[in-house]
Amino acid sequence: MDKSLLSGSNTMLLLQLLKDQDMYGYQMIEELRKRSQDVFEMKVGTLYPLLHSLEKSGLLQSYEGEAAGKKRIYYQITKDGRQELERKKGEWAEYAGAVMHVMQLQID
Amino acid sequence: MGRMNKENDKDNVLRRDGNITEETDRKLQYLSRLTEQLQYRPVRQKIYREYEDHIDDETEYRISTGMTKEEAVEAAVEQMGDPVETGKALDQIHRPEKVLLPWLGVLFVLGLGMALVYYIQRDMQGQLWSLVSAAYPGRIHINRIDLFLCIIIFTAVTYFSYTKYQKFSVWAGLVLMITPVWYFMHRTGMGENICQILDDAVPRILGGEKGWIARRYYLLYVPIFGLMISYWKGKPHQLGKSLLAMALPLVLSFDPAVTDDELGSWGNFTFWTIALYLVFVFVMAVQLEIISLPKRRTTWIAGITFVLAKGIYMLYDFAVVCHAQWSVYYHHTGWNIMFTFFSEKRRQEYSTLWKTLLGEDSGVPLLLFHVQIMQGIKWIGTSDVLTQKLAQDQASADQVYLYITYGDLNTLMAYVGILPVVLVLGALTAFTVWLVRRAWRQSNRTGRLLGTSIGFVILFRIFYATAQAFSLTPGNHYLGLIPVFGGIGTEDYSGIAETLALYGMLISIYRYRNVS
Repeated sequence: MDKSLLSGSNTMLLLQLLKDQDMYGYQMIEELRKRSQDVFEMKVGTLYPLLHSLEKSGLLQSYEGEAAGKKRIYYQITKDGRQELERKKGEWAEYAGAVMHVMQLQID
Repeated sequence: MGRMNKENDKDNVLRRDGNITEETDRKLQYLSRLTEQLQYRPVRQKIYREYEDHIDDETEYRISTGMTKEEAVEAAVEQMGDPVETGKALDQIHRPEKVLLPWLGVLFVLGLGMALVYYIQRDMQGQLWSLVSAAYPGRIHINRIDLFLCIIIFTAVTYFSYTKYQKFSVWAGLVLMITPVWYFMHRTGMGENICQILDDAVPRILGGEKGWIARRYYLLYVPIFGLMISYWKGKPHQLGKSLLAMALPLVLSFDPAVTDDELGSWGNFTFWTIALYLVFVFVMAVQLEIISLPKRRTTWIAGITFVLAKGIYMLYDFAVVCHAQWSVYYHHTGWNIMFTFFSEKRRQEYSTLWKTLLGEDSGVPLLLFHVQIMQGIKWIGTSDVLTQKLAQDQASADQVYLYITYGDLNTLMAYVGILPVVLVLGALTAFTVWLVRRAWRQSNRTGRLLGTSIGFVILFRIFYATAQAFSLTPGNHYLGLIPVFGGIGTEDYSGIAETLALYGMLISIYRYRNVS
């Protein structure tokens, strides 16, 4: 798949993942792969800088948690993050709808 | 980095294998190259750990798919990408902000204040100068050593990460809360020997009024209280409670203090400070479940009760002053100054009252002098009444000295005119708001709270001192120090140091946002 299609929506995808539960980095990559049925495979080099950037912007916050007996740095979406997610979802819906119209596609 | 390798190598799976050295080395090489790109060293450990955990998880997965350990580690590190490129991306995110411009901005304002001191002194001629300088020989000058110390303090606070002293906030708060008790003992003469040393410590080094910590810097309680609440709550604080914590010291600051000669301004200040202290201890005891009461409701009730009590007291104070019976305690405090500014009739009443109560009218010329400088005239050489009184009265010379050396805003306005001073204060306000907005842009709630409360303290003091200079509010010399301008004279470099420390903390909060 053309990776440029993914890059513009990375923030939205991560926020959506964290909307339902807190996760650590490796978990996010696996979950994203699973939910997209192996279509999306976010690179580590993209993931952590993005997570840190989102934390700096106040959309996420991190804390130390435990998974399978190991300490991990978990990320949690904030209230600002939820608002940003809704905004991005609206933008994406508008974009996707426009593409569909141009391509004269229909969802079966 | 060697110490970090030992402490953070948690790869227990690989430890059991004989080929451990090569695989671990490969991982460590990657992590070293990654973290080397981070210029701000304190963030390196966290990032190192996060990436190491990721490599370990990926390695475990690949081993579970049938790879050998060596292959698994190699593949895991390979899929991490270029460590240099990733490290540089992280460095951009985690680097402290550049703050040279705000740092220079504050020093520029300080320089402006110093220039004013110099020109005021240079222009002082004739009898006024000889009187004041005779009373305080060699004291009216710019103390270069003290000034240099203040700049050192400012720079150190600016470039020291505020997160490092966050963990001491509770202890700092407890110590600060003791200061009202200490101040009470000082003012009443109890335990004088003990209090004296602590009381005079800072003024001895940098000059300024005695009782430096306890007395007029209770507005510093605002950021300290905010920091304590943020830290002690352990999770993102509730803004409402934090604002309440800020409001309490603010309420305390309105101290007209001219209702009764026995209480006096210091008596009132002491009373309300002790009351605030007790209320805060009570609220903390409830929050920590030492006293079993509903936490939220108790905090709100205690805060609102205190504010109401002080409000009622202020109304009572105002009513008493309106009757002009006891309003001569301290000539430039109280609601009186408002009345005398706006009313000639009131000035006459005040003069008569002063003569009746004290048998002389020594306060009146100074009051008239106050009114005159409100009109923006140059006071030097034009205040004939004042000059005459100075020739007779050492106490009056003391008061003029105070005006000059404590950076009284009235003196500044009289010297350069009202408009320039108002413009500079406006610029200072805008600059402070700019700093606070930048400090606000971070996800660290403690930083946001602390930045907001410090900015609040500074802005409130600018506002209140300005309003006081225009006689729009009761006078209160505990708040009289305009940031940086305050103490621009010869005695009160402790005031300058305090203001610079506040600005330094604000800049530090902006500089180290999200760098912890």
